Amino acid sequence: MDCSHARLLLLFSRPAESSGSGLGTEMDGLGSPSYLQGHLDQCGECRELARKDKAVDDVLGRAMRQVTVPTGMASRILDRLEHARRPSPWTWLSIAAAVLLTAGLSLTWYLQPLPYLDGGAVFLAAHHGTSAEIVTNWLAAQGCAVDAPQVIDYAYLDSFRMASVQGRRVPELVFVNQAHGTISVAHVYIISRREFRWDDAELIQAVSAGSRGVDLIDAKQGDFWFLVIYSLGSRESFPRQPST
Amino acid sequence: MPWAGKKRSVEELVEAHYRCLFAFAFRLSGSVQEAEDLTQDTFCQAQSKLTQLREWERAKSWLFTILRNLYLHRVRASKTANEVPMDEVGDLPDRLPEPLPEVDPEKLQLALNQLPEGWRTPLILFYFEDFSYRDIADQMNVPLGTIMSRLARAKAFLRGRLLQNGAVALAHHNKEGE
Repeated sequence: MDCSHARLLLLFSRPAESSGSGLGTEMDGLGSPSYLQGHLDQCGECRELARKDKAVDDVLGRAMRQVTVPTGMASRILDRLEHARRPSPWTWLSIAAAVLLTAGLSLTWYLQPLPYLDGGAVFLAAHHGTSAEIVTNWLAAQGCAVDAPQVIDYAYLDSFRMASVQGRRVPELVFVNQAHGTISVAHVYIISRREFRWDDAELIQAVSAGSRGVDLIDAKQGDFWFLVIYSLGSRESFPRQPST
Repeated sequence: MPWAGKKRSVEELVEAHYRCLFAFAFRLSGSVQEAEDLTQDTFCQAQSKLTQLREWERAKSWLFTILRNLYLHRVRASKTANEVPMDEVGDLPDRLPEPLPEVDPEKLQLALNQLPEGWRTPLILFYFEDFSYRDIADQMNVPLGTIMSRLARAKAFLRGRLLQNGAVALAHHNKEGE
């Protein structure tokens, strides 16, 4: 090993390693440390250079490692780590908001009122061109043993259903007449004296106040009565039956 | 319970490595406050990525890599204006005073601040003595030969700045003085 090779190896020797028996096992790619050491043992000039290099590295290394660590830093780091492990208030808020939203949507879906299935509309849809007979059958199916009221021509029947009157289910027929550019609507309720008590005059007077006319007709079947309320248009728009 | 084990492990890492990490961060950044921030950020990131640490013996090197990446992320947009061009740094100075004076750590820091990060980091790690050339090369993701070359240049720069009887080993500085 000549001096130039030895000085190249010296360049890459480590401070700690050069202080011991030799010069670093990391120099394997450049040449054996023992060869370098052998050269230094024989060459005073390179040995002096190695001594100076080591002295320089020692001085610079001491200065490099001379760093004062701030007081209490370890506890500050541990505090920060502990804080980082805790979910932030925003995280909790986000979770709470998500839970509330999910619960709210579920409750809304669960509590939403189901649309009322209009039996009359279904019936009419299934029996295009309805008649009094069909309505009579439907009334029987609802538990009303009464013939369909012969009050208004069934050509004007728009729909029929079980309506809610004071919490009781009552058959209701709706007649609509759109002749001559005006709309007239009549509601016929089939009511029973087994379910309601009323005074004829008082009932007619009360309903007349908010309508275009009222008829209260005895069905002459059981205790059923037909309460006819004209809510829109003209009462005279609908042909009346001789019996009323 | 895996979490308890994780917590204990992170605390072990802090106890074992926070001093050397802070020193590394300080020599990198030159600021006590920034160094502490970097050290804390490093442990926070380590805590969240602890499962990635397969070999406990490599923890120190892993932590140093995290810290350096955090530092690079911070300084990416703010390239230091007074960095010296390393291709103008000369060889090791032959004449040095005898005996060698002690180096003022603050002057050392001023000199380090002038080195580009790619030269500063291997130099710091070299003098911390805990890392092999291979460790440094792996941490910086550059070839071993590059690390050795940069170390030689950076050491020459430091010796010239701090030990050569006040002379400056920078060619461009010499030119400015002429």
